[in-house]
Amino acid sequence: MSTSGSMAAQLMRRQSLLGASRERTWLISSLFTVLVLAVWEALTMVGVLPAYIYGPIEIARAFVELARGGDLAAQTGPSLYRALSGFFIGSAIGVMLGLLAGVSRVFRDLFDLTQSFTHPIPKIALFPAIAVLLGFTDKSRILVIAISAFYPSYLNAMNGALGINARLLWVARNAGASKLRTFFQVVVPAAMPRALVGVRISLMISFVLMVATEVVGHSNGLGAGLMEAYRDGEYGAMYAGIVAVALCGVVSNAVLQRVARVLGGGRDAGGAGHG
Amino acid sequence: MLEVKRVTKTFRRGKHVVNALSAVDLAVRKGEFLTILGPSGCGKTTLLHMLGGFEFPTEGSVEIEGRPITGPGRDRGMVFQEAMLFPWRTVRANVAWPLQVAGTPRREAHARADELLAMVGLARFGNAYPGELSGGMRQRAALARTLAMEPSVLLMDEPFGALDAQTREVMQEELTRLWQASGLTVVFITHDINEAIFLGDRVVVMGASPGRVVEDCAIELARPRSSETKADPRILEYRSHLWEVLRRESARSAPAMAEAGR
Repeated sequence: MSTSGSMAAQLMRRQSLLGASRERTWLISSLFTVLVLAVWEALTMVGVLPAYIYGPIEIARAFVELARGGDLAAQTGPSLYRALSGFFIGSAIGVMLGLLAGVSRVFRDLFDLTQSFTHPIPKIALFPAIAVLLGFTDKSRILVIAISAFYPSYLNAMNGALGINARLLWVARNAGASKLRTFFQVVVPAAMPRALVGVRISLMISFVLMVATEVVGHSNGLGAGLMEAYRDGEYGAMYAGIVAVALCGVVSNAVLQRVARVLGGGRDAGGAGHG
Repeated sequence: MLEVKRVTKTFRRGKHVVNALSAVDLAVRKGEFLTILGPSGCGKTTLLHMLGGFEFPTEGSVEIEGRPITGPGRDRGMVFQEAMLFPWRTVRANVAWPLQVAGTPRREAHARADELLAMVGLARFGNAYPGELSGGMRQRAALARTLAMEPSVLLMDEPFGALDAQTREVMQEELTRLWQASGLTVVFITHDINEAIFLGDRVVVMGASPGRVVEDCAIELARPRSSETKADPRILEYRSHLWEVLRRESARSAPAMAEAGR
């Protein structure tokens, strides 16, 4: 066992394209971030930038203030609820229908035309139409977010299932596996890496649509908060709201990646696209 | 007993009709190790897929024990050039999978998988993932997974074609050892003349356009065979004879292929 263990460890210490190890990659990217922030801060201190562009330190201060006052928590709660509800509904349906379309010609033909017609519509344009029916409510916001989150998950899950090596399915047929077993034990795991790429895009789009739907109509949440701060000329609170949205996105993405790694089993360690 | 009777296979490529196989006759005895040698495009893989039940003849019939082959079955285990293991399962879980498909409980299936892994020399790698193994080790695992179905026939499509020369030699010796002890019927496709001679009781040479059998040559090297067999002077004779057949065949089919390309 020790041999295979050390082999796995060796493979995990894979090098990036430019020959930097993982630790060094992390160091480089954080150094770059610090550099960008320092230059930005320096420019605001010198006074080259217009007054309405705040420096990172001032934004951080405004962020802390917004958090202390309790406004941030009050805004983040409803926003996260909308973004994540819409994301879960949209991406779950997207992955399921995508996998079905990937394995079944009938499903693919059934969905394809509808999908290609509706995909290019900016989903925020549907918001007023949905509001006619449901009003500017959480229901309509979640629905718009779910519709937007559907497409990347659907398309990537479908392409993941379509891209499965046919010989892998032959192995299952050779063993006499039923269609149902083949779907759940071969197609789903084989298509999963690609499907998860779609799910991550869906997550990011959910946050975009979260802000967009909160800006319109009488709403609460981070989007509404930063729009209100803009109207009141409170730019510090506005920037703080933007930072809060970014943080929500980063944290959700990190959680999703952790979940994906657990679902992927030991596959990440070996980097095995083909067995 | 596997029988291929007057099998013809034609594909349509746009307006062209391609003769992949033309009136092929072939019989494989029970327990025989048959190797099929031929250039790419001679239809040898198509023939193997027909024996596996994944493709069907346009004319003629393919039979096992006198019954026509109507689809894939656990009695005929396929091994492909790439191992085709499930990368999300450990090696042990890969080998146990066909057993679980047949209803064997997980614990028993895993115990049997460990036995099979020991047999192919992978006893210590049950917990590894396919991505952590070398090409040769993956092929061993794929062979163990196929053997888990307890097939009577092994259908191998250039299984060592992607391996480096040394690994390939070792794998050939291991395969004859396993086969000798098993009583399996093997149909083994290769484009390596030495491999075909070393492994086969019989080497069938196929030619291209149209795909057909051009030579059927019994290999009378002593069994069991091992690395020492590779020094047998008769190998050189078989080799030069088969080379002659292949050369004649490529000289014949080269103008024909140029014709077809026009």
